[in-house]
Amino acid sequence: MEKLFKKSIALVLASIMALSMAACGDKAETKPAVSQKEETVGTAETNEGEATAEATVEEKDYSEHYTYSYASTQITESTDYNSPDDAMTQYWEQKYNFDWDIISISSDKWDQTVNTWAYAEDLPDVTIFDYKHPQMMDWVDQGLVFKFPKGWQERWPNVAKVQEYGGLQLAFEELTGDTYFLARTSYATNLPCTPGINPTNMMVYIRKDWAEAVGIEIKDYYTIDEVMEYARRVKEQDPGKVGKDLIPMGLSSSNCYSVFVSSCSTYTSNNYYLYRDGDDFKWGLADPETLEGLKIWRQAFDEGLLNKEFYSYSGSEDVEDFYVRGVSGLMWYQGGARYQQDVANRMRDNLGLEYDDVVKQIFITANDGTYHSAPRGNFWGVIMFNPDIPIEKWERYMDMLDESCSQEGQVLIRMGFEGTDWEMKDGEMVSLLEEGKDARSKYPSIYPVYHQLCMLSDDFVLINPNYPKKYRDLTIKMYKLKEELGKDGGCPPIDYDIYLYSSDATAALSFEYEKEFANIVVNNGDVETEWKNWLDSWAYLMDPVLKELKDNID
Amino acid sequence: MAKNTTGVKKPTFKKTMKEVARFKGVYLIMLPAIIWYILFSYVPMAGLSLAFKSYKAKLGIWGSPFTGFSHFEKLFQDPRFIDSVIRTLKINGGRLILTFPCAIILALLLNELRVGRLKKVLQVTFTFPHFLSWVIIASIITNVLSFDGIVNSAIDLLGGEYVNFIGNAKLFVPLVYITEVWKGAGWSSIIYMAAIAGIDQEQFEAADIDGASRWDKVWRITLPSILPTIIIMFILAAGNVMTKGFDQIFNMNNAAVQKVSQTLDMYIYNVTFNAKKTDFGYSTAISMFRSVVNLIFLIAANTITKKLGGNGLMGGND
Repeated sequence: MEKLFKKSIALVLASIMALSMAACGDKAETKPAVSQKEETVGTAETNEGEATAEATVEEKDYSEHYTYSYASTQITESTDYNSPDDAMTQYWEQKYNFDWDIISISSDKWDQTVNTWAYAEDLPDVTIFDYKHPQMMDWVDQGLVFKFPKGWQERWPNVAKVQEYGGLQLAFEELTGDTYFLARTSYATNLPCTPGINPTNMMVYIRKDWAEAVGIEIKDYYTIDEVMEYARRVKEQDPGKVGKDLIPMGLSSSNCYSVFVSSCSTYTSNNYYLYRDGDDFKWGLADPETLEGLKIWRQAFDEGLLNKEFYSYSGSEDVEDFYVRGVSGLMWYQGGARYQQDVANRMRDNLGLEYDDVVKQIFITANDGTYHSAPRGNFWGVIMFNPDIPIEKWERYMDMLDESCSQEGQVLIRMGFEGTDWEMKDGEMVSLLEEGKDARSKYPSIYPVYHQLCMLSDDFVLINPNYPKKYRDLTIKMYKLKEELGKDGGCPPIDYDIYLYSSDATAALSFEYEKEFANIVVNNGDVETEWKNWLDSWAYLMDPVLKELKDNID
Repeated sequence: MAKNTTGVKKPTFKKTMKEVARFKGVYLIMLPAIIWYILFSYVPMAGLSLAFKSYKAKLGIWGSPFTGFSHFEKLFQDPRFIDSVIRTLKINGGRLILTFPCAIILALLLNELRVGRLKKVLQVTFTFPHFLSWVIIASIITNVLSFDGIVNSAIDLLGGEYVNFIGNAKLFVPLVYITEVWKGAGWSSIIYMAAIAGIDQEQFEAADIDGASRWDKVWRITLPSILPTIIIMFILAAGNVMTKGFDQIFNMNNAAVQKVSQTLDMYIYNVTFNAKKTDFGYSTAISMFRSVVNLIFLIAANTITKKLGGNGLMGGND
């Protein structure tokens, strides 16, 4: 009987092991074959010849209804993206015979959510990914993302054109020989800078009325020391009579990092921090200019110019101190015309203040007058498809993207319907919407789905008559000024050899610069010593990367 | 083969099955827990093989190529990993010494209360925080202890200087312990209260006749009687020393206390989700290391307990 008991135990253990093996086994072995009706492309085993032939078929049969699962951040939970009352979504859904299954991704879990889906081979039909090159290369190597059929550019020329502007997709195709994603392009023809130069659209907003009251000259840009002086005088004189709640510089850790460190040093972005220096490669965070910015940050903290607990700001609390509570003298915020309009509306609603009277949008330079902005790709987020998406379903989505990238598609998404939301007058588009409103506020489904389909709003907003001309003109002027003041290396173009370099060494790098520098600022140690210690602590990971770059990039 | 020196016959399989059939209702209640453990604790163990592999999604865990000990080599070269291990041992070792006894003390104090209603009210009050998530507790802590929170407002009213509670690296670990006790002591004390309730009341009556004070009764009757429970809870806590408190530290963490809050679990989270590329093999290697250390602590605590004359987790002295 004892033997029988032991055998039973052995049987149970064997069953557990079998269950374990089933759970961890080769998915390719256990997965049912893809339906024969739904021909798929995109995996590493795709028959490219067939896929190309499929892609060149000109017929457009939209009789079969599709539901596209679409995952992105910034989804408005309260919006019905299939609403029958929303004329914008109805236009697209009826024309291309589909509906949306919208999946919201939390911004702070963007990477990990998409990673989990990709490695579990469970990507939605369409997923927006905050591009990280080593990660994308791994997915491509493992066949976890859709591989575009050759020649797609001819069939969807508007999308292809937008990708030319975006740059990233072409550089990636040059590297790998294929297309695996589409970059959501920021600017096409309207960017006022030289192509390739793409300074950040982030700006600093200061209280113009306070600056005037404390004797600070109103200008379009200030050096970092001048901004510090503004903050000091605001703190001393409290021109807004705010009292003990006054925060001269309302900045979170990441925004402090941008204002103090990135204004002084070029290669300090979390996405772009390595650069060529002759035959060598360097890490921007180890530059003396970075230390200079860090010291100024500490100075601002020590002098009480920042919120005493700036590191505990979460979400948009720091900017709300400016435009909701009215207790802050400065904020770091998007600079485009739509955002200026947005801030104007919020200040009117919350504080009863007229934006044009009390706010000045500026940018900050280093103390030598150079404007610094790390190289940026002309895109934000890339569109990836499930590797097993049926080809017809993917093609129809591409049809929709192509229309959205056309001139007419952009006008429709940004301006709404002709005759209802805008009209032509003397050869120019004139908005018929209520002042301060745009198509996005009339048709909630626009944001963020149609708004960010493949072409982002940054380009059109510069010519969008829904927004006041003075704001659009200011944005253009600021871009030009940034390029001019950054022409001596402060605002360089992206170097795709560096940006698209991937190895085990680069993949191991995981920085949160703003948090780590905030830690140096709030702790009492000597800034320079702490900064050097911090650099030393990363040397074992960074040194091999710099050596690899030198060995492998011409 | 070891001789049976106790004189008690080992139960046969047939007898065991008879017992199971007799108490089938009780065993049925256990069944969900057993299934849960099989599915979520034993089945995933097979995934630990990833620690020696480079994970390829399409090949699955079994099909992914072996890389030997490369993940472990990389791991032990990383000074951040070493730092995080030391920090975890310090913080969670401190928990064992400082927060573990709090539940016992609370149970003893509650047991000494003579007013039944007050005892119940206090028990509910102390147990309630257990049901709050760390997200909520961290938010409460921030609101209470921030610059414009209740505590600093009170200090200000009394003419004192503002105290930086949530951004002070020196106060972070004490705050971790205090919040841990606030959240968990009431709940943990339930086990000790149950153990106290099971003590033979005649012992207390005999002690009363002998003129023992309340302190004598606590020290000489209550504590020794619940010692086996304390030992088991301690051994289990020791086996959790590398994993305890991720939720708490993740939510209470901020840039100012970054250096003192990077425990091993935070390190795993960062290398898994904040790296430029997710490396499941590497993350699994760290998790495996963590589990092995936990196991060592568990066995060590169990062995020491037995050596000191206790029963250990499985009961009986060797």
